[in-house]
Amino acid sequence: MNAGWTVYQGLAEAIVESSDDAILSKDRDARITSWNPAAERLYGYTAEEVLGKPVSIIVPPGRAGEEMRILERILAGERIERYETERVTADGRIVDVSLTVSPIREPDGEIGGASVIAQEITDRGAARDRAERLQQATVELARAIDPERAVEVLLENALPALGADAAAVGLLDPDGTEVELAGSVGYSPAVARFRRMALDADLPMTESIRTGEALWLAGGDLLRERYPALIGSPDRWASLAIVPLVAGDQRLGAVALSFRRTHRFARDERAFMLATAAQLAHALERARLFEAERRRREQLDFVVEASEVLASSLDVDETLERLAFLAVPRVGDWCGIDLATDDGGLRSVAVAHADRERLALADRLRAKYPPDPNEDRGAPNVIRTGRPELYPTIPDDLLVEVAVDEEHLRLIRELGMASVMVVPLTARGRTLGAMTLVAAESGHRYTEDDLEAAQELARHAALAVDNATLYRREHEAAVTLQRALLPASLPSPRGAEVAASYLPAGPGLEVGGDWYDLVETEAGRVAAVVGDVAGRGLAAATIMGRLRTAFRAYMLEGAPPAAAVERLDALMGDFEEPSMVTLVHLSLDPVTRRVEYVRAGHPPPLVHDPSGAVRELDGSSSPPLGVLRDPVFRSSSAELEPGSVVLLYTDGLIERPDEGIGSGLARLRRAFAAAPDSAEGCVQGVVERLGAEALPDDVAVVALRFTGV
Amino acid sequence: MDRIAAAELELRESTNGATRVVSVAGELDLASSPRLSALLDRLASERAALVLDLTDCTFIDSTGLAAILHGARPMVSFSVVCGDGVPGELLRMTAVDQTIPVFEALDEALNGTS
Repeated sequence: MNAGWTVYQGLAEAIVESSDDAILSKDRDARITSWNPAAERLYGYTAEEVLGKPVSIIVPPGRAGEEMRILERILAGERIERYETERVTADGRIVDVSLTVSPIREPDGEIGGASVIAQEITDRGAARDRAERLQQATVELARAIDPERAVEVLLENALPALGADAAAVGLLDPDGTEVELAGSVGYSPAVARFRRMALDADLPMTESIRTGEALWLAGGDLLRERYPALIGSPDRWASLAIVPLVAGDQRLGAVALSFRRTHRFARDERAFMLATAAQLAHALERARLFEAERRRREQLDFVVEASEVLASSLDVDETLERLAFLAVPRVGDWCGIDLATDDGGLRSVAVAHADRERLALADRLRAKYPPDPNEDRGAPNVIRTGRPELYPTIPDDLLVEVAVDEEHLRLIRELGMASVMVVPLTARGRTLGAMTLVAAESGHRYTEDDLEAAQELARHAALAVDNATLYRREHEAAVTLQRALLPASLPSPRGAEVAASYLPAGPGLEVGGDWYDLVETEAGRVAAVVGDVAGRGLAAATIMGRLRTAFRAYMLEGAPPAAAVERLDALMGDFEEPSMVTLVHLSLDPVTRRVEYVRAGHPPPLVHDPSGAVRELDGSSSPPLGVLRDPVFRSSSAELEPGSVVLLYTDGLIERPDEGIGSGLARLRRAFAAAPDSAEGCVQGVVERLGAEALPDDVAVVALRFTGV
Repeated sequence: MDRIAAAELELRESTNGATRVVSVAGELDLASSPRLSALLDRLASERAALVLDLTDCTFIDSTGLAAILHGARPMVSFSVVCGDGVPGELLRMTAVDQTIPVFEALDEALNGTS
């Protein structure tokens, strides 16, 4: 057995001698009893220097009591494994070590000391440091809601964690054709050369983004050989690590780390970089979604505000101008709205910019270089085709192409257009115009999403314009009709002075169901009528139109009043829609001053005697027209004195909201009594006194004054 | 005069012997008259004797009047009950009371038609 033990011991000694791990042993008093070559290398002491010395010489002050505690446990029979701690070397350097401590048993079983195997884990310390930094970066990236901050966080953590000398983050632009340097640390100002790189450039970063593969490049000359584009840059980098940023299947960009010394990228370093890059990619993705969400919400708010503007007025030009100014600078720096004209051209309705002084530039441009309606681009083309146009960027060549001359080119360059969208204003299948949105100072680049939002806005605007136009057309039709229906002029018969006034009720409509007419018949008689078709607006006006024309004919024929009214009633029997008409019709001889009148369901005519008294012509009354099966219309007569004034009117003049017609009539009588003598004076007088308080109903007033012949 | 305000209109039908009674409560104007027209159209086919009670009718304009008069045409007999208020004034002003019997109370009208 002794021989075996000797062999074992020899073997053990050989192992200890050749081990890469530092192995030492100490006795119960913590004095060093053995020290292997690896311990010499790790701690910098030779065996002669340490044997017999207390092991505390390699224990740093901060860990002072540690050895004792370890020894206690060992003497109690414990084995300590992978105990991580720090030790101090001969030249004062702190090293991270992992200790495995085992009791040494004497042949008699007593524990005589401990053997310590120390593995240097300074590398592991670095790994721990990186893990901490990765954690910290993750936390901060999770909080970062804008891309700028996310890039900052990454650079702050990655550079020190890997001991790089410089780091940069490049991001792919929305078009996917260029890579922009979003942030960099440690490079010389010459890095600006690489601020924008074409994706297909032969550069390490762009290659990594294109291929989606990480690049670990060690060796400066190799770098410049492989990427000749890097030659000439003042920074001399020995090693380069590029890791692409990918979120899902979307390429976002890449992270680059540069080292002045040749650096071999160990496995855990690569793992750290990949993990950090993944975190950054996530954060960027999240930041973009956030931004997109914020923009969408802003767009929605804008659409709501725009709808309010569009609903506020029926004046098309005014509304579109307000809309254009609302759109700047939120949706664009410039907003222009053009409407198609009937002759195939276009009319500029609004040009807006948040800074009104810039508008002068647009005015100058428009005045000197009016847009060509045949242009195959922009508003004219959009109006023609009904299809939107999107120019995410405006390269200078495009401006050169479009410019008519040097001055034009200078002016359009001055506009500073960076991105343009033109969307059609289409409603009910027709393109009415176009809205042009230009991003200039803001530097924003319009995307498909922006275009969609703009089209939505344009749809709303177009509908509002179309509705306003329809309304205006109807209004114009009504006005035209009404003008055709009113008597062009009043006759001036001998012996009588005539005046009239007509005030339609409908807002924006000039015509209603009331009418008046006055003709001079043969034999010098004067026939007059004031009528009221039940109902309102255009419907009542249409009926009125048919009736007035017919009745005028009957009057001109000289029909006796009752007969004329009878014929009109009969005519109404042929109408498709049932309606009702009340009227007063008089026929008078200015010479004899004899008046024959029919009052059909209508308020009574008033007479102002020369003495000043006002009375009603309330002879026999007849029913309204158009409602009874066999109505009987009767006329009555009266003889009036010279200077008398007869007043005919419709009930709109005497109606009040909460009053009966009786009180209104009384009020009219008073106003009529107080009115000046002339026919015109009477009409104006009663209209002024009563018209203001009248309900919104048509009012027709006719006054005839016998001048005496 | 024609008003557009859509005021409340209540129409109630009842029968008294061989006579139909339609009571109008509220306001008969441009907005509410079509309802009365529709009701009277429906009753027209029954060739009934009809009494239109306007006692609780607070307001009529010319469209209301037109609805009443048009509705009356096809009826076998038609009479109106109304007091002194706005409807009464209008019926007198328009001389409708000279062609359609107008009573001051419902029982008078019912006696008148029986």
